[in-house]
Amino acid sequence: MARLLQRLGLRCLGIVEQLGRIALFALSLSRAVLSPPARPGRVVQEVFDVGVLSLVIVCISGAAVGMVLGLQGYNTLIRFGAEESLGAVVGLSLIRELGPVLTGLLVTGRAGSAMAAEIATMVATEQLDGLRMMSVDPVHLVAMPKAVAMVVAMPLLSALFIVCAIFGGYVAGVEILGVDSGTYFSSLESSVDFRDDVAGSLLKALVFGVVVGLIATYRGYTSEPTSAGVSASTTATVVVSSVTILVFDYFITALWGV
Amino acid sequence: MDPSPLPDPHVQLRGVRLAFGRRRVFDGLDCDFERGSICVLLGGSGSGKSTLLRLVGGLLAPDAGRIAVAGQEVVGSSWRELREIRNKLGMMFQGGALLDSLSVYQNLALPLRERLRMREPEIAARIQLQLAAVGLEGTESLLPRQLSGGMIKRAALARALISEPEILLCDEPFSGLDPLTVHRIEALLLEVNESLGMTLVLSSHHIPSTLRMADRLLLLMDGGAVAGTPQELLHHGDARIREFLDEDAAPAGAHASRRSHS
Ligand SMILES: Nc1ncnc2c1ncn2[C@@H]1O[C@H](COP(=O)(O)OP(=O)(O)OP(=O)(O)O)[C@@H](O)[C@H]1O
Ligand SMILES: [Mg+2]
Repeated sequence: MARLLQRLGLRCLGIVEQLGRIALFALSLSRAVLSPPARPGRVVQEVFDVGVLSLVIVCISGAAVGMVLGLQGYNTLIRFGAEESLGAVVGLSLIRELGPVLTGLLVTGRAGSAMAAEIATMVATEQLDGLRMMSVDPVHLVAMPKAVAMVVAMPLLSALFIVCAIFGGYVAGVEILGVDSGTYFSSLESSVDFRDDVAGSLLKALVFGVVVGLIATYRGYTSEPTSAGVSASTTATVVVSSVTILVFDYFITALWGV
Repeated sequence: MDPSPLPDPHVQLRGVRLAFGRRRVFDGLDCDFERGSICVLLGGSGSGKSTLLRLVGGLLAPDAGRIAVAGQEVVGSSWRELREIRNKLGMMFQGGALLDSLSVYQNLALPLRERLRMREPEIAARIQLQLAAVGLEGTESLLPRQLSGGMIKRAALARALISEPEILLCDEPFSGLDPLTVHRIEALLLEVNESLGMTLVLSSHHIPSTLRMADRLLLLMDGGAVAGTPQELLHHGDARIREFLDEDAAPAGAHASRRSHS
């Protein structure tokens, strides 16, 4: 029993220590964002990389999720004779919830893992030590542009996901099941509020961008300098980011009502 | 074991202890690298040559002991002080450590942009010169993965040299090079030592070039080091040290017994 408590205590201490380290890393990242040079070229390049990696899967997944929502929503709504509000159901659930969350998960798996693996490989091949010896701060040159790129790209990709999904819902609801096209869009338009829904959705995506950017760069930066270290940091990035996104989603929804 | 103190130590280590888990690499290491001299680190694989260079660069903290570079303490220095110290150092890593997402040109430009804050036309000119010096003309736009092992070594050396540091730390600059290139790199290192007064600390397994270049040798063994001029070590009382430097002095039975086994 005492042994068990002891192990539990150690585990908790370990978690708290990790959180402390992440906080320190976040601090040095934010210091890097504020200190010159700003490296806009590197940031743009990284945004481009994240975008290229994620664009196709975000579009395809968005369309697929939208079509499923269209079908399921229609089948449910028709029981109450309310199939004319299909646009509202599809739009609201996407904008408020599914868009940011699913985009967060997809981008984590695609671009977040790649980011962690790239930095971890640089650790394993002494590239970061090489930078240190040239008096270059690796957080500033390598980690900061990647983290910033994630924060910038996530809302954009989430918006793209939502647009594709609304189109998917249109295809399923209007083209396949025969809901009136004007009704679909007017119910969508009248039920979605810009401040409450759209701005909130972008904010959520922004928070998820911060989460993924921070965890991916932190795990890569602190990985063991071996190939096992690279794979461990990649896996950990996906797992930890995904869980964190889902937990944060609850709290953002509960606290801010988005 | 204790080396006689040198008149002007550029890098100084005192009582350095370092262990990785249960593997004790250094156990009270004392050594000096004199200003403007060429010192070669020798020692078997795993004797701690790379580790010693990383300690001097502040990439690794010792468990105990003091390390001073140009009179500045490395151990326990702040981020800002460490940056000041590293501005005096150039380091070539055993594996090259070139950034693999950047071309050779961009790799060489990094220390000039970030450390010396030079302007682009000057940077371009300096890079041309430096690449020519290591025999890598025309490779500016290649990525590290498009280079051979020996070319990576030379590009890494060029990157370490290009900011003209006071002290150059080189981890095995000659491994994987053909004999002609070895001579060329040797001449280049001797020249920067001569003309810029650069202190060179090299690690090497290449005994012939070591004996040609070195002012002093530092043989790492048993957690400590034996220092001396090449002549002193070639005629050292300890047979293990003589054998390390002079293959002909290896025990005569070694070849014979190998032959009889095969
Ligand atoms: N990060 C590390 N973790 C654990 N052990 C290490 C680490 N780095 C080095 N070592 C150990 O320290 C010893 C010295 O390693 P080092 O790389 O300095 O050897 P070396 O003299 O450069 O060898 P080589 O000539 O093969 O390059 C080795 O026994 C190695 O196992
Ligand atoms: Mg080595």
